Amino acid sequence: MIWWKRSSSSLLSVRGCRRFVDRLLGGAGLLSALLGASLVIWMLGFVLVESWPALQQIGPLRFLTDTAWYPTLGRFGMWPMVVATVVVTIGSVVVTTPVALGSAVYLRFYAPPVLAGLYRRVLWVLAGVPSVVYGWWGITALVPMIGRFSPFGFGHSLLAGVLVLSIMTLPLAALTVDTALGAVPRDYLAAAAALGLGRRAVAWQVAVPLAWRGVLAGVLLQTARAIGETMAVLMVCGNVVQLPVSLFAPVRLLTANIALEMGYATQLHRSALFVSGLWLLVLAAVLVWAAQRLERECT
Amino acid sequence: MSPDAPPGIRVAIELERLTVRYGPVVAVRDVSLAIPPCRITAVVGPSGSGKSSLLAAINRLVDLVPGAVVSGRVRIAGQEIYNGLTDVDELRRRVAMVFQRPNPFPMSVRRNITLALREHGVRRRELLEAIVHRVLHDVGLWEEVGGRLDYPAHKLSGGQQQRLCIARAMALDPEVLLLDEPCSALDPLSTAKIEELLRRFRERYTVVLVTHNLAQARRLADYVAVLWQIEGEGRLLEFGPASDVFENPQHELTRAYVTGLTG
Amino acid sequence: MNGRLSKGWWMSAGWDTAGTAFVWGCALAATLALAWLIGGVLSAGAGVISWEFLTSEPSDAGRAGGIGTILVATCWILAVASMTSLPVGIGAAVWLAECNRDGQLGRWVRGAVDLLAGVPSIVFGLFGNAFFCQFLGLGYSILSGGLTLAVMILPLLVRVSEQGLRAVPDQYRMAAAALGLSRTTTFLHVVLPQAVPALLAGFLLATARALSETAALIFTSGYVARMPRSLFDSGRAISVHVYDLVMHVPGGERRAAGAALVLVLLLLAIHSLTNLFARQWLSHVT
Repeated sequence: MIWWKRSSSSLLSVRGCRRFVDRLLGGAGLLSALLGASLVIWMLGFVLVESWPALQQIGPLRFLTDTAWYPTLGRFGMWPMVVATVVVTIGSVVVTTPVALGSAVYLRFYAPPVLAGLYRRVLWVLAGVPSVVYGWWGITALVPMIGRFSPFGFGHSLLAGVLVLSIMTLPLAALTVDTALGAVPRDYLAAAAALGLGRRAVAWQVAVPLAWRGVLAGVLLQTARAIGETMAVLMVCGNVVQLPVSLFAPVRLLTANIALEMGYATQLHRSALFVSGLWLLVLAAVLVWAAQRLERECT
Repeated sequence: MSPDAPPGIRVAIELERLTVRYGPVVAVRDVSLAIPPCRITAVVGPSGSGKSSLLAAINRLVDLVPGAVVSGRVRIAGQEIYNGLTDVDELRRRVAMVFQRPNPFPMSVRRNITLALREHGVRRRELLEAIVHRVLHDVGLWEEVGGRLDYPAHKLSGGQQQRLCIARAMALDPEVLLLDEPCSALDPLSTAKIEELLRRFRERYTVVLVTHNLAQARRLADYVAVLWQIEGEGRLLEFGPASDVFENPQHELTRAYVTGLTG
Repeated sequence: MNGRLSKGWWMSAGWDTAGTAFVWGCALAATLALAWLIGGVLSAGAGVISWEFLTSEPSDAGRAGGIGTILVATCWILAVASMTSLPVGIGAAVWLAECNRDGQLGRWVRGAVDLLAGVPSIVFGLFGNAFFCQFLGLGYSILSGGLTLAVMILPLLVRVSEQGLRAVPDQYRMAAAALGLSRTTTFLHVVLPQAVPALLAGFLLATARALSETAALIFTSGYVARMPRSLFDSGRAISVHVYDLVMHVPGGERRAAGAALVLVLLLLAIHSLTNLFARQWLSHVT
């Protein structure tokens, strides 16, 4: 046969052309990968540039020491909002973590297969509900209910923020732990069961400790999600800049502050908002990055 | 004369001090071997002795393994293949390979064969059809799937899939056929069919057959190379006509291996 | 023997029952929360939705009228986001999965994309406002909002697509290489057809993420509820509409519920479509 000799004889052969196409596509792929990777640097750069005036003229310290947040009057005390953000985040993590663990253990060790499938679907749907809908639900269902018990007579509060955030961050944490539990080698579980351990002991004393990386990843992811969440807390927390003195007190979180004021902020005020954005960016990105590291290690 | 060549035999593939490393691991060290044309050469040895690495070095498939380094020389029909001038795609056309597990592409039987043909410049419809017919006849699949060339390949049985893979390789009109334990994933009946095929092909192709099945090597091989893992590295113990290696092995380890005492 | 191996308090049957009750309780609580949420949206919004509501323009700041122009603007924003992030995302995924699987550069790119995935959405809004609206001078526009969302969904797109491509067994790539097929042919004819369901699933997930986003859009695509005439016009996305009605328009609750229900239904539709593809993809790979 001679057909293949012909094809490789001329310089502009089929094969030469193919190889050129190979290079071209490889180059295009590389270019888009670099573009995608540079975005995060680009973003950090832009937020940094925008926050530079505030960092320089106000200084990082005054954000914490100024007594009040009147950005148009030159007072930039973010301290109450930082505290509120931390408290609401910790609150939601404390509420969600046990439920997420329980959900994952339920999925892997207790649920009949049909119910496990259904419950996973429930978690997926919960994870997919947009935050603005959580906010709507918080305002129409949760806030009036809290208002009935509140000493202040209205429900927009730290507590509402914690509860809404807890439900929002639950599915992500539960599904992460679920995946980690699924990656625990069957042999260990079988060995534990062979030693006469019951289901509860196998789940909580063997599987969960073995999957600690996944559990930690779930907690970190949910923390990052809570810190960065904007719409739901904006809608249910009441947005008063004050230290959270009570569970029922209205508070304003950093993210909500940005959303509320970006529309009209100019100059130093705008720059100060970017500073809070910079904190959120660095904190959340580091948390998620660490969580993904852990997740990759355990699967 | 190249090293270890059986006297009076022409040489199709010549390995000279071939070493294959994967990072710090040496899979094959210093193997020199002259594989004669139009014969079946079996490469046998226990697992981990570097059989597959040796095979992958002959069509440069080892290039695809990250961190793999090949040193030494490999000549096919007198031409060195490890240099910048080699057209790797053309080399792989000339040196076909069949894998341990049947791996037809998830497409129709016909497309499995024509995809590579088109890539290598065959465009005319009639020629493509003719080649498909010829190779399917050659591997005995024509009778079994003949009317259904558009049948999805992954719905064939394992043995049929493997024969399709052989047909796919033969369509490119190669000179050398490398087979990496082609029957280890198949049942005895399919194995018998493939062995029958290889027996028929021995006059047309230079066949290099990696196998861990000594009985198969006895049934098929004209020449046998025995690889052994010594101090964690794959080395060539013995090479010669099959009858010599099996009846009168020179090396103590080979003797133990072919009589089933070890390995 | 028996005496020394006496059961500790933690092994008593009572605790077993408590453990069982706890995990069932967790599952029940989450399910009830979802039911409450969906039930609430459904009961409040179902009465509002009609053909009229879906097609007409909002009036009286959204207290009356429908969400026709909102849906159009949402579609435009989503189109801009997916059309710009899709080529980059798929290109990067192909490069990561096929060209630089274990290389150092690939690891860096993956790390950077993961970092981007962790950025809170409000910060995407800040970035979009500073970069697209001001630096590039696009102002509050559909283009600014869409491009901001494109940046936001890119990590998801890259990750899911790369996983889908990697799920195609290597034996096919080896077989193709052994036949002397070029990388392009191998990719287009052997790898890609098997990865299409996964790529589609990734695309749908990314679209859903973009559709549910609010915070990144408030300061990029803006609030204007009129029918957008071009990509340079401001356009109000449906999630922004819900937010605005709830927070800024007294008496807008009913319409807000209607819009929220439409949003949830759209997302549920996308998710079930994704599930369909994902299942097909899984059955294909295994």
